[in-house]
Amino acid sequence: MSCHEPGPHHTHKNCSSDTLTGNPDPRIALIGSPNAGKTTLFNQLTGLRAKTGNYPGVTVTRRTGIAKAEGRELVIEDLPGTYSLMPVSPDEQVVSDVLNGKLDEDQPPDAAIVVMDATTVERSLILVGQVLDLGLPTIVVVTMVDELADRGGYIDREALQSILGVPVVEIVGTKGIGVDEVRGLLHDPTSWPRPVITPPTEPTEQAAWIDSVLTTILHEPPSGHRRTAAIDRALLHPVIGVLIFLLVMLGFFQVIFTVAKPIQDWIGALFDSAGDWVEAHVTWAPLASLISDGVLGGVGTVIQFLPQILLLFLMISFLENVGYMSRAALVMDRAMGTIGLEGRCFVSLLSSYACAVPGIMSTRTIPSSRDRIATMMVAPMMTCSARIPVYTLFIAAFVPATKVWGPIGLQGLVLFGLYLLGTVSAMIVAAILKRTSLRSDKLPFYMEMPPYRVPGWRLVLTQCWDSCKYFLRKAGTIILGTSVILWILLHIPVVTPPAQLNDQQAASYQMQHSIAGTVGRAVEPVFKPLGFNWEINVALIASLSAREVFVATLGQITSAQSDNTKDITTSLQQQTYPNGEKVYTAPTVAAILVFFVYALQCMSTVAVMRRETNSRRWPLFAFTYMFALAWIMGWVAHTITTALTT
Amino acid sequence: MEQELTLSTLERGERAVISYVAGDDAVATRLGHLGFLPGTEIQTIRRAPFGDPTIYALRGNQMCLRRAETERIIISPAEVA
Amino acid sequence: MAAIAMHVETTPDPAVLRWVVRGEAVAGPAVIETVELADELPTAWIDALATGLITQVLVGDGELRVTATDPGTWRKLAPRLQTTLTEHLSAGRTIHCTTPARSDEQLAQAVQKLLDGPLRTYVASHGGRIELESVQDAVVTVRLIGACQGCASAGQTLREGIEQQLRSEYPEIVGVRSVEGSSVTSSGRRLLPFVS
Repeated sequence: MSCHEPGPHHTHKNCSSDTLTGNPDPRIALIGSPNAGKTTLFNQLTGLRAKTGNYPGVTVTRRTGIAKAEGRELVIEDLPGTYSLMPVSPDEQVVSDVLNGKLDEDQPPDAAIVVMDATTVERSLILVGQVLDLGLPTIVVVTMVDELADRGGYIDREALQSILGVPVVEIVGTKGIGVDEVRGLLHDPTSWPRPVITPPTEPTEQAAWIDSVLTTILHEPPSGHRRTAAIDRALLHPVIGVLIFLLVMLGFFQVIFTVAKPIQDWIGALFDSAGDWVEAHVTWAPLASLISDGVLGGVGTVIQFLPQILLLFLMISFLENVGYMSRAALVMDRAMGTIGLEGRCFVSLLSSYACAVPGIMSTRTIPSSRDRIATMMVAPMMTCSARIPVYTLFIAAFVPATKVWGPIGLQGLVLFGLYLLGTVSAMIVAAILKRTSLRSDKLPFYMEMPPYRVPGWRLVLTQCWDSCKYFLRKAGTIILGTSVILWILLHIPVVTPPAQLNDQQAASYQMQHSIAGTVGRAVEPVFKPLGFNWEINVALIASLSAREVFVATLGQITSAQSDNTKDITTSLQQQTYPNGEKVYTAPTVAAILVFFVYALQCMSTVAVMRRETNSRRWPLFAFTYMFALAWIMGWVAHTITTALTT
Repeated sequence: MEQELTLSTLERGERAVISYVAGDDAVATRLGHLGFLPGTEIQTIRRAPFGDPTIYALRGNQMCLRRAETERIIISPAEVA
Repeated sequence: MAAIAMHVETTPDPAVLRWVVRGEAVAGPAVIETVELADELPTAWIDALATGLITQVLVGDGELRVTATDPGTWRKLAPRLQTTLTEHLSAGRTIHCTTPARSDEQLAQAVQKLLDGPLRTYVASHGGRIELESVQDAVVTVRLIGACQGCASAGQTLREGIEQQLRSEYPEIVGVRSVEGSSVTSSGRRLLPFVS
C-alpha cells in the first residue's frame, strides 16, 4: 500500500503520517445528519462492539466502536447526528471541539466519514461542505441509494467524486451493500484523495454551489415521496390525525395491559410453582422465604414483565424507525410547547411509561440540553411497568370491584387516576423547571419529517435488545442483590424471642428486632403521618433500589408472620396491629399508592440519570425532590382519605 | 415601501423563494445549514393538527419549524414557471 | 441578488481543474496561454498566468479548464482563483472569449512546434517523418513521409492522433488532413465541442 496512489487528487502531503507506522489506532469520526443512516453504518462497521459514555461536562453521548480493516483496528467515533458543525448550544460545542481536537487530551480525529442521505442530497451537501472544510481526510458515504432509485432518482457518483475531490461510496446500509468498500478504504486514511478546494460557505454562494452541483450529479431528481404524502394527509389531518394519534396511544397501552398478559401470567405461574416447590422442599422457613419470596419473587416480578417490556420496546423502536414518532412529536409539539418543552420530549416521556431508563436514554435525540434535563427530571413520574405490581396488588386487595358506570369499574378508575396523577404532575414539574433553572437556550426548534420507511428488522431488534438488557441486568443484579441483603438484614442479629410466643409471633419478633426491623422502627416517626408501620417502612426502604422489591419484601415479612396463608393479598388484608386495628386502612393504602406515583425508587434510573446528565447533582436533585413530593402527596392523600372515610 | 413577506405568512400548498434569513446570529446560520438558503424554493406542506409547527418542503426533504423561526425567514413570491 | 451557480471539478489530469459556471456568463471557445489574450479573465487569473502558476485556460461554453504548472500548488491556488472568479461574475462581468482564434500563421507555428517536439521522436522511431504542408482557414494539412507513406492504417492513426492532440490545445482547428504523394485524405468531421 502506497502513498503514491495514482489519481487526480494526489498530493504529496501526509505521506509520512504516523498512522501508517505508528502505534495508536487511527480514529475516524462518523458525521451525519439525524436519520441519514449513520447508526446503521456504525453498527455494520463495528459489529455492535460499541462503548457508550458521555463527553466530559455535558450530556452528549459519546459512542465509539472498533472496526477491523485489513488487520488494522480503527476507532470509529460516532458523533451525535447534526445538520451543522457550527455550534449553537454547549452540546454542539462539544462536537465541534472533538473535531478540532480541543477536547481534553484528545487529538483531532485522523479522518472523517460523512454520511449523506441520497434522497436529501441537496440539504446534505451543506454538511458535507462543512466537513470538507475541516481539512481532515474524508470519505463521503451516500446512503439510501435504493430508495432514491425507487423514487426514480440517480446520483452520478463519479461526478460527485470529482466535484468533492474525495472518495464517494454508495451503500445500502440495511442490506450491507457497499459496506465492504467503505471498510476497504478505512485501513489507510492517509491514502485518501484530498480536495484541493472546499465548497463555499457564504449562504448565497453556498446555495449557488449546490444548484450547480445538483445539475451535474442528480441525473433524475427524486419524485416526491408519494406514499409519505398520502400517509401524512391522514396522519397529520387536524381531525383524523388527532384521532389516529389517540388510537396509537390507546393501542400502545392496550398492548401493555392485554396482549402481553397471557405470557405474563404463564411466567408468573411458573415462578409461583417454583416457589411452592421450594417451600415444600426447603424445611428451614427463613431460607424458604428468601428463595421463594426474595429471589424468585423479586426476580420473577421483573422477568414476568419482560414480555410486556419487550413488546413495548418493539413498538417504540418500530414507530421510531417507520417514521411515526416524528409525527407524534409534531402533533404534540404545541402542547409540549406550553410547558416549555418540545415535541421530541413527548416521545421520551411516552417511552417512560414502559420504563424510565430507555425513556431517559431516548432524550439523546432532543437537541437542547435544558429540555433534555427537564425531561429526564420528570420521566420517572410517568407510570412505569415496575409500579404495576404494586398498584395491582393494593388495588385488588383494597379497592372494591364495584362498577361505577357501564363497564368501568372503581378499580380501573383508581389505576387510571394514578397514571393521570403521575403524568399531570410530571408536566407541572417540567413547566416549573423550564420557567426557573432550565429556561431555554437559544436553540431554534426544528425537526426533519423523514419519509415513511419500512424499517430494517435488524435495527429494530438491536434497539429493542439494547433496552431490554437494562431490564435483565436490573433483575440479575439490583433486585437479586437487594432481596438477599434484605433477607440477611431481617434475620440478624439472631434474638431469642420470649418463650410465651407462638411460631409466627416469634418470627415477627425476630424481624422486628433485626437490623432491618430496627431501621424500620427508627424511621416510624417519619412515616407515621402517612400511616405506615415498620413493615411498610422496611419494604419502602428496600424498594428504593427497585420498586418491584416492595411486593417481594412485604411477601417475605408477611409470609413469615402469618399462619399458612401463602396468598399475599389475604395476608395483607388480615394484617393487624397488636391492638387489633387493621394495618392497611383506606388512608394508608391511598398514601402508599400516591407515594409510589412520585418516589424515585429505582437505582437503575438514578444510575442512568447520572450517566446521561454526566453529573451527580441532577440525579441527587431528582431523588430528593421526588422523595419530598412523594411524602407530601402521600400525606395529602392520607389526610383527604381520612376525612372522606370518617 | 412594500412590506417584506415572512415564511409564516405562506399558506398551505403555496410556494415561494427564500430571499434571506433575517439577522446574523447563530440561529440564522443554523437555518441556513438546514437548507433555508437564499434562492431556495419552499412550499408549505401542512400545519400540525394544533396549528404549530408547520412542515415545509425544501431542498428535497421536509422540515418543520415553529412560528418564531419562520418569522425570521423573508420570502418573495415564486416566479411562475 | 442571486449568486452565479458554479462549482469546481477535478479531472483525470491532476494538473487540470474545471470550473463549471451555469448560465451565459462564460462562453468560448478560446485558449488563453498568454497575458495578452487574458483580458476577459479575473485579475488573479491574469496574475497567475503572468507568474507562470498556470499555463493555460481553456474557455468553453459554461466552463473554464485551467492547467497548473505544478498540481501540488492547486490547494493554495484554487481557492484564490475561485474567490476572484466569484467576485468577477457577481459584479456582473462576463468571460466571453469567442474571438481569440489564432491566425493561420499562428496556428502553423504552433503545429510546427508540436511536430518538431514530442511527435517527431515518436514518428521517427517508426522510421517516418511528418511535415507541415499548410494551414488554411484553420484546416491543417500535413505530409506523411517515410514508413508512414503507403500504409493506410498508419496514416489514419497518425492523422487522428495529431488531430486529437492539436485540437485539445487549439480548439479552433477545424480539421487535419494528411497528404502522401498525390492522395489526400481529409477529416471531414465536424468540429466537436472540445469538452464532452
